[in-house]
Amino acid sequence: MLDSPRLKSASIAVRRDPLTVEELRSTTVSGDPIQRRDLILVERARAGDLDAFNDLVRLHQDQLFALVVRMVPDRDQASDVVQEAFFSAFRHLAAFRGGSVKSWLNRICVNAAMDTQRLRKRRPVQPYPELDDESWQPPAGPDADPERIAVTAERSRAINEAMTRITGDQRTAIVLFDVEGYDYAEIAEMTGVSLGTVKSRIHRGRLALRAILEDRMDLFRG
Amino acid sequence: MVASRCGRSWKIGWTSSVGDVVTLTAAHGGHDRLLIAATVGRGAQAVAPPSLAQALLAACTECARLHADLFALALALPIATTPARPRDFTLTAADAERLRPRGLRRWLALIGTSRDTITRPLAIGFTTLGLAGLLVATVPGALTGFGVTAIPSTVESSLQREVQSAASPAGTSDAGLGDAGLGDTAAESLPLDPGPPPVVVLSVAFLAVGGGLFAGRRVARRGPMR
Repeated sequence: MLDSPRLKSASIAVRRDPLTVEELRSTTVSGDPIQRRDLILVERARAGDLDAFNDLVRLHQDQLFALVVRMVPDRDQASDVVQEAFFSAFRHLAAFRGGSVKSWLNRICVNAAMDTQRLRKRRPVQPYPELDDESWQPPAGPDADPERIAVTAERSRAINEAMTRITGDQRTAIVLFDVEGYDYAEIAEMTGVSLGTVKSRIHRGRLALRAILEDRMDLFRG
Repeated sequence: MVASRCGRSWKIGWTSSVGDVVTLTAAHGGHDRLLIAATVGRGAQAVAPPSLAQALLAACTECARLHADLFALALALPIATTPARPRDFTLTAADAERLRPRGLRRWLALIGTSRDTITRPLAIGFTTLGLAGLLVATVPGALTGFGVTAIPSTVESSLQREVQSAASPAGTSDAGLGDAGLGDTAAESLPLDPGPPPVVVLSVAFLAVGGGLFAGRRVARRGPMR
């Protein structure tokens, strides 16, 4: 069973007992093997299998943390948000309506991150105190060009720092649009605002980013 | 934003989609920067700019530079590195035990799910009935100058008058009424303090049930799940 090409391409992180044919057939989803895998794990988690839920966590935690840490510019807070989001997902497994598990988890994380942003407005903290932390740096391969690595790191540092200085609403809209690839209508639905507001936030946010980075735009040109 | 001059001076009469004529000024500071920002698509996807933006991009070097910068930022954002995940987010058995809904939370979880299609219409229906009932009970009284509390006594007195007139069609006295025995029976059957009319009680009950269902759903759906 585990030799099945579908499962190989799905690359389940940890699988204790193989999926049965019935499980694979019973799931009425598109042919996307990743979605099929996620849905099977959700069904198992709903049935009380904690290991299945933890498989989901392992599969999505990196992507979700990367999403949240862009929205909540504090690593500890972002970490708490992701943990709370997984707790919430576990509590509300019954509320999952099918479709993309990744989108469902993304939505929970976005809502949790927006709640945290609202709290941060009331109790602002120093954004990204760990900007100089080495963990920000991308992993370097053995044949990586040192100059290229330095430029990439500097770009990332500059743009992440600039992102902390625009408003939370603009940051959320830009991250969802430019990084996560949602369209305007999806972002409007996720954030509970109108389509025009989403567009305005994205466009104004981009202009604000450019204004903040005006002196460092050479990093991004060419 | 500092208003800078473009490389060349120009002035274009422009007919916008709403039919009025817009004049593009030469000063970049007067140009619509949001319009330029709107022409930047996602990542490498280009958005076909509207004609006015095309004119700005073609004629103003500052606008063209702004567009190129915004495009570069949109490209750089998705590939910017983020901090490493500081810990593992898997749930322990104790977490799972704590998070599994029990008792009231379990019931609330049932009505809070997005698959629950019953409670919301029920809540709306009960609330509407309650409000309508209250309106029916109060508005006629308010229009005639009596409140809800005035209705029972009004009804009572009119009923008494009807009973009296029915008992003595020829305008007989109260003594005649007593002889017939009808007036006593009717008067005894009238409550002395009838309390609020049933429609008000029912309406308030409907409102309470509807409000309770709404509150239950709200509590059940509280948290990041929306």
